[in-house]
Amino acid sequence: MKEYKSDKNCLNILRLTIIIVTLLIMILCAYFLSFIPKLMILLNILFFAAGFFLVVIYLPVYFKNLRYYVIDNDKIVKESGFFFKKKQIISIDRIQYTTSVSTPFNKFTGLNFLVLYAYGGLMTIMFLNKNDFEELSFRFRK
Amino acid sequence: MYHEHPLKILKTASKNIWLLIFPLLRGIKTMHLDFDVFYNWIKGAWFDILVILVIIGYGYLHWINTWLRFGENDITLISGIFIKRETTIPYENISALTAEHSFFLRPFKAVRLKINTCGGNFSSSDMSLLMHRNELKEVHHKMMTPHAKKKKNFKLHPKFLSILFFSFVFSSSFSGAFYIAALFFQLGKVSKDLLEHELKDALNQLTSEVSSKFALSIAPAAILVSILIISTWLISFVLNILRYTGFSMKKYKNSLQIKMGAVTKRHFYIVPHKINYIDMRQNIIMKIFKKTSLNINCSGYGNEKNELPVLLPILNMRQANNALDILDFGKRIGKRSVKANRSAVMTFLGLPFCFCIGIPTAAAVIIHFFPSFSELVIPFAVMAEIPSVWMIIVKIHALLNTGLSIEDNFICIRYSRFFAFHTVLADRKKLVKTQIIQNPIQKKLGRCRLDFYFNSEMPKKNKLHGINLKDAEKILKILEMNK
Repeated sequence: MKEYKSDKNCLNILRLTIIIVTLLIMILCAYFLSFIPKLMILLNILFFAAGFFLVVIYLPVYFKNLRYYVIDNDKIVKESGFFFKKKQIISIDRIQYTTSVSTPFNKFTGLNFLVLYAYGGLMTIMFLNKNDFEELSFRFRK
Repeated sequence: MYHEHPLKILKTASKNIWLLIFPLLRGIKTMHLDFDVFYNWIKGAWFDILVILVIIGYGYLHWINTWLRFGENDITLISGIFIKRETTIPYENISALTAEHSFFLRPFKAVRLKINTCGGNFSSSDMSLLMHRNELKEVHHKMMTPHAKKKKNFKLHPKFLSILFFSFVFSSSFSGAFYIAALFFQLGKVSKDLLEHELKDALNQLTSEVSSKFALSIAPAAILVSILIISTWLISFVLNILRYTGFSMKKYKNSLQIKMGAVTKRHFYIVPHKINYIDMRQNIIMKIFKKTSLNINCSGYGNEKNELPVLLPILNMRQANNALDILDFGKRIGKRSVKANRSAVMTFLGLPFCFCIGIPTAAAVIIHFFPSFSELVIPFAVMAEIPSVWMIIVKIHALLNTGLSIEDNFICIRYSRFFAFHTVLADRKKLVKTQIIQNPIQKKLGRCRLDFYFNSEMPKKNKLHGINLKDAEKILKILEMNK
């Protein structure tokens, strides 16, 4: 059995993106809703809280729980979730086809996705480092 | 490595490009061969031209960055300018190939190829390619290698009259209306103007003309609805004729080839062992003429809008049995070993009977309280009553014919859904789930509904109503024993 874990760089990239997006929304909110200060403050608090929750609590826990196993070259198992833990198992021989999506600078960002289409469903393998991503892509393509 | 057909550049460039091309053409039309006029035109339209160039440029970049690779065991499509997307499909997992020779692609020697497996989305193909016609042969050869075409052993080419009959019985106002709605939706603003002015005026004129020719006083709204129903049905009928004209089916040892279409010629290549089940569909008219249509459930075949998964459009029962034999499903449509309980009248006829009684009652109540609406209510009530009576006839027949049999390794179930009769034949290995459903009344009467689910991209219930619980449990035991 081989275990694959999500890339830590990817977690940091996502955190940074969320911080920037949250700040942008807050600035826009402050600019356009300045004539209703109470609503503007309330919305900004909500956006800040949502951003804080995602960056400090949700993403680290989600990334910690996200892992993949390949058992005996026969099954692939995905474990994920935040409040509720989810376990998906797919027989490798049931995979019909695969789609891999890689972003620029994926060696540094870890923004790689592999979608496995099987009978009656699909499994998305995401946020793996480049080596693991290429290894799995090659394995499932065969 | 191959590129797709260069027409893909235009396909990729947004469809809104046409919105820019028309003002551009108008400008060109009004332009004189004069340098100053040309200069002034360029000065005014430079931004439009720039936008067009950017859109086409994006299309070109997308096209040049899209590659097709035919490996020994799989086909790979690589696309994307910045974000690379790579889809790989092993040849042995392909369940159906569709080659669409649209009339507007034919002059460019282009063909749209759709590749499907048993996985992925139901409504869309797993891989869709716009290719050059010459490359298609090569693709076919490579793709069908695991399911190589060997000796051709069956061919069927129905007569045009059969196609006409098939189109007649399988046309519906609903699918016609759906097609028109989709067309108007795609035309966007043009359709809004058309609906607001031209079409509205034309319908009003037609309605008043028809209304004046009737001796009885029928409300224009009722005539309008009738015209809409008839015209949408006609559209569906014509579209079905265009779709199924030239239908032919060839069975090779390891593949089925289906060709059809007058305007857009479609060629389907189906791998027989990927067929989940066979569904023989009939309606009352077909029952009277003792005809049936043979449909299949196979991923990638018949899952597009307004498309039926028809394998053989119109057959008599003897031909259907022979066709099943040739398709390796054998002559297994025999007598039912389990039948619907004849006393389950309310299960079958309850709802249509309610409609049958309810519609005239509701109409009478409305007329009683609002007598001025009688001209409008009576024709609508008559129109709604006809399908209800029709449904009662269908359900009486269903009550007498619902049931199932298990022979060798095949399950044959007969049931009715809405206005159609289905005879489903499937290998037992393709059975995914069975369930018994009972409501409190059925629990007291010892009856149930028995549902069958077969392998399919989209789960579909095959419901057998009014079965005795003991029979259903017996069937489940047999199925369990033979797992």
